[in-house]
Amino acid sequence: MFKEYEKLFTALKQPEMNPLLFNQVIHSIQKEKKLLIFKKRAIIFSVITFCSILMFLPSFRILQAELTKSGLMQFTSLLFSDFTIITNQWQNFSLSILEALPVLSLIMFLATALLFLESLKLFIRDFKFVLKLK
Amino acid sequence: MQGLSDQQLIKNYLKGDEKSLEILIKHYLKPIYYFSYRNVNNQQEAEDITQETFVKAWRNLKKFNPKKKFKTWIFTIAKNTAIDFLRKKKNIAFTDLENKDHENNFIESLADPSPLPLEIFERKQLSQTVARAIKKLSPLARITILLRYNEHFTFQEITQILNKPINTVKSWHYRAILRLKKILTKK
Repeated sequence: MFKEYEKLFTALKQPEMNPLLFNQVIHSIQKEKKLLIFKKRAIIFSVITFCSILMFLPSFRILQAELTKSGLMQFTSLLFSDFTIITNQWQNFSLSILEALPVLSLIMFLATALLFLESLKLFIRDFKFVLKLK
Repeated sequence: MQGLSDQQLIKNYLKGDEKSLEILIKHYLKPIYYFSYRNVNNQQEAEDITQETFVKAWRNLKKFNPKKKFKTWIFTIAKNTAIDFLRKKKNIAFTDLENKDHENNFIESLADPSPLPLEIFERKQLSQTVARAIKKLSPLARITILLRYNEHFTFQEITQILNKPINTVKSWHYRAILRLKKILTKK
């Protein structure tokens, strides 16, 4: 009985297969591969963006506090109140400004801002790719 | 490279050899395409199912158990993809696809139906007649019959593909044969 039905099924004419199907399958797999990579990257960048948002406010507050503490505002106010002193003592003034500058907190703030912008840019780029591939 | 077993090809691909995957796909492309085509009777849809089957297989290749047969595994994926496709297309529940065959487990104890009359084989346009008869079967009966006679799977392997008890599979097979014979002899 098995042989008979097997014979019957061999009589079944198979449809003509699209010669491009193999390439289409490979292309689909490549697309899926890219999609997986972009999805992973999008997740990583979204986490970094989120973390940088969380870090942004504290780093700004630290910078603000340091700037107030450093007396930088008083030095810069001289620019408007007594400009002749600055022109006469510009070297000392520049040095004082540099010394008063809260370098660490400024670096921290700028790094956070840069991290936020860069990760946001990469996240949007990958997200666009994911949408395009889908 | 061509003479390597499926398991070896998978192993090589997982080690980074892209060519192994291509060989594996080339080997199973036609059987999967024909199987999909017989289930949906539409070339474009069969192509979509074939593509989806291979993408799903690629996605889960790391999970593939090398102790099992790759052919059985990929046909399981193809069957699931085809059923999902039919379900989406016709909006039918899986229980409807099963055709209530679970209720008749006594059937597997019966003998296989009698052989087909000789005139069936002598009939002109036999291919079209068989294709039409297969089309009339319920989806799971059709899958069982195609796996058994077109892909030469054993009942044990069909059991793994359909994830059903062997008695259920035998019951589906018996009913499908009866129905197929009825359709073929009616003409």
